[in-house]
Amino acid sequence: MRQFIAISALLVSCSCLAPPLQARTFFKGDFERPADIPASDSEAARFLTQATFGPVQADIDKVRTIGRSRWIDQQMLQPTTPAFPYMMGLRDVPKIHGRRMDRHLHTFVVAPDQLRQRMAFALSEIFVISSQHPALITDPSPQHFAGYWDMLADGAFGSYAVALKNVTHHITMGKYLSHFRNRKAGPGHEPDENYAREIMQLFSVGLKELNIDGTPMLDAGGNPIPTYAQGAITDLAKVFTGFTYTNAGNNNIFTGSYGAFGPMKCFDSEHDMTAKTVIGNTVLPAAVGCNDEVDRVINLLASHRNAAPFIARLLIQRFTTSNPSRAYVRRVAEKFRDNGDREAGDLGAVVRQILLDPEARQYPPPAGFGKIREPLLQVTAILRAWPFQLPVPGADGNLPMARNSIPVTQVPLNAPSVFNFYSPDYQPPGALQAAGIYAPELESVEEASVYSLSNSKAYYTFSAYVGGNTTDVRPYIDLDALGALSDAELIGEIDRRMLYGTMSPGMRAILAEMLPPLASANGRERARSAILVAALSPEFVTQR
Amino acid sequence: MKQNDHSRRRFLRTLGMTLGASGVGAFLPQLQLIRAAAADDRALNGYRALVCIYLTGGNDSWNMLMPYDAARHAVYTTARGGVHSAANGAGLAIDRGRLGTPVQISDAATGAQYALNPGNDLYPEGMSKLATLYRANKLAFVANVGTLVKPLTKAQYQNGSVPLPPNLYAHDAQERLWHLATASGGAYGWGGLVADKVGIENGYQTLSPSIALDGNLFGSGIDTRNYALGKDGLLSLTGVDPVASASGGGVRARAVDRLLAEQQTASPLGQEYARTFQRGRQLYTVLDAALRSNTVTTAFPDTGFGDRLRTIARMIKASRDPAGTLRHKRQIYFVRVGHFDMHDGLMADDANGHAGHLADLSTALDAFWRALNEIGAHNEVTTFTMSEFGRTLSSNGDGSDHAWGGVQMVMGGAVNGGRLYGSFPAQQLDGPVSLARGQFIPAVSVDQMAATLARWMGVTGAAELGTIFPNLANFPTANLGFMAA
Repeated sequence: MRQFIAISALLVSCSCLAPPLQARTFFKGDFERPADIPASDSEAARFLTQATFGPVQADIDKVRTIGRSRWIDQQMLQPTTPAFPYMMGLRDVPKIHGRRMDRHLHTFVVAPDQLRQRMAFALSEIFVISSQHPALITDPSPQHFAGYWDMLADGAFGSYAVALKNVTHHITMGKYLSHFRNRKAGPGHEPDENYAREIMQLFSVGLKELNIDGTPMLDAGGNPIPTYAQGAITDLAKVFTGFTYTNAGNNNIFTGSYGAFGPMKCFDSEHDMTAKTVIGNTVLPAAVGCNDEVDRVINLLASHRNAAPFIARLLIQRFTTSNPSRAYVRRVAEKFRDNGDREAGDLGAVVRQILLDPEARQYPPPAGFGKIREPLLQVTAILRAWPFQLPVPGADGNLPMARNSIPVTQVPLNAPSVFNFYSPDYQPPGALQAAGIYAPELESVEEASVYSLSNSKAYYTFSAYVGGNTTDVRPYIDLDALGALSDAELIGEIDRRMLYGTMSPGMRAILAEMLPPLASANGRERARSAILVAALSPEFVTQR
Repeated sequence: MKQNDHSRRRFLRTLGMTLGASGVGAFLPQLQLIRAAAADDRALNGYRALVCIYLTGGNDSWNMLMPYDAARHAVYTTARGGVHSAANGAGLAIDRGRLGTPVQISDAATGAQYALNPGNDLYPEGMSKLATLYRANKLAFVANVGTLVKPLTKAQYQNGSVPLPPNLYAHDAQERLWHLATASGGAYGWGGLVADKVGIENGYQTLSPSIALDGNLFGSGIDTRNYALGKDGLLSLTGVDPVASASGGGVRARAVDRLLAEQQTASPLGQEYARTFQRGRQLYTVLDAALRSNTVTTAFPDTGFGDRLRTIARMIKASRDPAGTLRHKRQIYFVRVGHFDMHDGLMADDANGHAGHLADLSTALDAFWRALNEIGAHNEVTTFTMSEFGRTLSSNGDGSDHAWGGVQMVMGGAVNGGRLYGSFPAQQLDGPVSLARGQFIPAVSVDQMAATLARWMGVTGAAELGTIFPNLANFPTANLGFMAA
């Protein structure tokens, strides 16, 4: 009855891009038993909840065989499962962002490069572009977005400075934050300040000077110290002038519209060549060409003392906990500054530290550790927890994973603004705000949106099995095998697969009392009921 | 006596919410009780509501309301880099010849002539509907309002002798200050703090007086939390409910409700999720029924913003219904409309240009006004805009950048309309109150505009206003005069 479809048959032929960065920590000899093997399936599954789109038994077995560190090594060698060739290969269907979502959802639930894709997701919430921008909705923007995603995935374990440079030059970032075709000053106009502001505020250093543990530095009066003043933005805006399509010539720098793929090209003839005073009162001399000057600025920001704690905290919040201790931030930030080989900005070393840090590995975790799972990761974790059916590819090459009529509550690269889906500093009013507890993901969970989130989980997992049209789009959990289980077995499976063995006695009792009244229902209905109620439970929604 | 009952109920509600936070520690609500009690003496007659329309991204309000007389329009044109045309793509000024009678207005106090955005070929009505409301004295403008710690001259700005709001020109930081109406920082939104004081006599206390169609800090006070309402009202929960049913849906609903009530997770974040979900569940039944029985027939634009305004109108109708379950007397609403961060394409002639956004705004607000008339609430509801900053007068090539003071609108039957409040500044770069790119040092503060609205809602005492707006005493007046008593 289970209808798994071979993954390889579904993957669009992989025109794999640049070879992956060599993992810096080489495998130790196989005779040596790795020291960081989780003591139980439960611990392994918790680690995989932090590092993937949801634990599966094969990965649990692997982590328990080779240890966490070597599992990370192997993940870092997995090439990107690309989205761009999929989008370009679609035939006879509109190339819209919904098709991009099909591809992402498919990759997240079946592709082997789980950690790489998770890191791409995390980076996409720092280097934000959004398909909500009215000028970035239609063909060819969805293909450009897919390319942007692949760029983040390819660089997931590479250099932060390189990632920042690639993001800066990407045509879609140029259009989203408007440094594409940004003009140097002329009669009646000054350079656009948009990218200059956000590359500092959101992509690299933030608004306040930080200590390495992420706390704000304070002046003599006890006030935070601004990282830069407006003058530094006005001058930095001049750096981001002269960018246009990669295939533009001297006569069409600012005219013509064609969807050239590839990084933006910068014309020195249209670049502001005056001297500039930027962040930290750094003077950029006159008459430096565009590319050299942009490189210098990227390096200036990447090596700014704020970059390490600023990026460290944002990434920790995406993978393990909303409220890292100062010591945890410090350890990750130190790894950002020096990966052990005196190299700064090694994102692979950073994510390794985030996942292997003693604070992340403490088990069982203290009550304050953990986070609300991101809405999209709730959906993928439910799918990956159970046997499920993938869609049959359409004749036009598409994988109908996402239903147009039913919104997914979180679509990658579709945040409301450059400030992402939620703020790293969000504290829900009331008890959490009073206690000084951060909970970024709860900014998108309100009385109304929690209903949409719940419905998104239901629709994208199993609802079509009950009275619905099973030839409709997939994926759906195969409930038939579960229907034959006894109540106790069913609850045990939910505990193991969705809560990695951490279900509280109280929740177990509630499920045990819920199931007998459904005894007359068919097996699917019983299984669906148990999974749905578990999916809505506070214990599932919270990643500990 | 009645008021004591209400304050007791509110106290218990607060206490219930607090005790629900098991595991986080109990936060004794004495402060809330004291604040709530402070409003007990006031007679809160009739129904009043504020509706905040937040223009996300920083509206270029200098192209929303511009001088019309030839002399001042010429100054504006120069500062904006000339009239926008095919030959002058960088120019951001609107040709005076396009400012026809339907969008022309004048300030009743001074006689000065202005015009609203005239639209374009795709949006030929422009903002004429709002101009009509202005001429009917139902709409006013607050000119050059922005974040300030205290009044500020250009010389003081340059010599640093007066503290400035932190992180000027940054979207999120400035938006936060608009929601606080206090440039020296704080934790609570001014709308929420007003609701703390005036929501006391609302009948059905389980429903917050602060109703959010979009996320915000504005409506979140000490005792008041936003109730988030979907754009089309309430969505049912798939596969769950009704609770009372013997069906599978009922069985699942009872299990879900127990899980949320008992909050088995040790995580304070998981507990907060449970509390939020629980509030959604508690209100669903009551509000869904109230909204279903309170429709409006006025047609709204077929946009997300139009849907939200329709839902607000229905919610107001349900809340005012003397025979209904809600019987609220004071409410605040918040709704966003986006895409105002126009660093490029400001003058675009298509649906993505500024003229299109403003025309859509005008059409939607006009529909809201007519819907309020339909339900008889037009004199009891005051609608106003906020936006994190105005924008530079000077062009960045095809748009404008982040700046500071700007123009906001106030609409309603209780508004002293047909006038400009604050001070409309000379449209110059590096002028008496402007910086090099035409960033305006605000003439009046957000605090003053907000306090004027708070007073109308019933927060009348200087001391009470001072608890909400601690910097208000820095400014010459707490009442800008645009609201009738």
